[in-house]
Amino acid sequence: MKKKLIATLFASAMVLTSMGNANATIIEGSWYNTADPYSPNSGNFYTNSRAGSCNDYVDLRMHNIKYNSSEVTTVHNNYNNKNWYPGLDATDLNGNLSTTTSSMATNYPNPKFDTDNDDGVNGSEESEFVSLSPLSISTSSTYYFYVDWVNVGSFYTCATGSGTIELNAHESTPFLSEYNTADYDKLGTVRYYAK
Amino acid sequence: MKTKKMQIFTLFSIITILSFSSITNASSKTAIESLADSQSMASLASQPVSEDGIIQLRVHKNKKEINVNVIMDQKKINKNSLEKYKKEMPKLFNKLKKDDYKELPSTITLNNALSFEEFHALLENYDFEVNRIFVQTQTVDGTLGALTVPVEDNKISLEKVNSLISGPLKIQINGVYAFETSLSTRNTDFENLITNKKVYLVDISRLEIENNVKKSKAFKDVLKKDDNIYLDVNVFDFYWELKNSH
Repeated sequence: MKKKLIATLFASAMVLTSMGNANATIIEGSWYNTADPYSPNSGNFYTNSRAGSCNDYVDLRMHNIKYNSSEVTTVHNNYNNKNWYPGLDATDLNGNLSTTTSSMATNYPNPKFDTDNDDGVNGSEESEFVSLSPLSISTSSTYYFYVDWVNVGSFYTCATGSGTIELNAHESTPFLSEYNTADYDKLGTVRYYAK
Repeated sequence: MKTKKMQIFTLFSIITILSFSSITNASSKTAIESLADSQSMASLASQPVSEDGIIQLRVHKNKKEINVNVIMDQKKINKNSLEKYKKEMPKLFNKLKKDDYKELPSTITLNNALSFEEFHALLENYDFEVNRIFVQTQTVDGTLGALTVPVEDNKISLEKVNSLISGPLKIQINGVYAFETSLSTRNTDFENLITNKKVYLVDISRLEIENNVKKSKAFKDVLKKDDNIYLDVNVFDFYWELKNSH
């Protein structure tokens, strides 16, 4: 398994604004110069935690995602030589955000979303996609990945919770052995709040 | 004389080969059924789903999850393979119906992206409930993208769609290109969908793939070591492939 060297990773997060009311909080951050050679070089992200009438909402926006030419070459080579597919995922580390009812959007080429059909019985999981046409990834495009979650807290009626979302770039590798997991590169973490 | 002998021999060989292949065909399993024979996860991961192997499994372990994605090999993508795969579905439907399954989780790929109004009109002819839609999008620079939102009561929530596309970029909606639903084996929804001109593929393979993976020695061995592991099978739509194949 690949070592996660996050030495060059720059991730910042701060409370930007409360949008003038207590019902929404925006937390933002960015990354630059990631550890793995296939990960996008830079990008920005924020969460917008919003109050709902029963459960709250958390909107994640990863945007301005750019690859440099060496990363694009790595992505293309990984696909051509090893059949790896790139993608991004966002994982709620606190099990408040429902992946079954989440919405996702991206402009990565030929994205296939993992839309979890287990009804949340298995706890927190990733909201993720893989891009099945990696050869269309280029330095001239700017990519985004948006996720909207319902903040269902601990699955009680009208519950809600605070927590952290971990953002990763990953490459889906063909299964070689039971110890062979997908390859992950952490791009950053971002907080969200109960309203 | 020698030539005649050769001819007879060749003829005999052809007959032998033909009869042998018809025997093997009669007893051979479909590609999806052979998933159950997988002895190891590595062999499972290299099993084809369609007869020609162009539709295949991608398997990876993800913490507590064995993730099985059904995808098309993008290097060999072609319309003919999609057409053949499509023809396997009615047979699979009859088998699952015979096995007494009442509901079949399905992924439907449309021929062209439909506006929300057109999509709602399409649903009026059916009894099934849509669980999720997949929508083609476009940013101002012309880059295509996709989004997915869950659906309740067969009504696309504009609130959900508008919330999702609000952000730092201007994202435009092109139309619905695929959806996930559960099809009943007790009404005519499946038959009517496969003949609907707006529909390209009604993929009902998820249940059969799940069953066969669960039957395999490969998956049972994983469960023996950790019974908290669960299986997540994703059968994706083939809209992008359809539009980019010849």
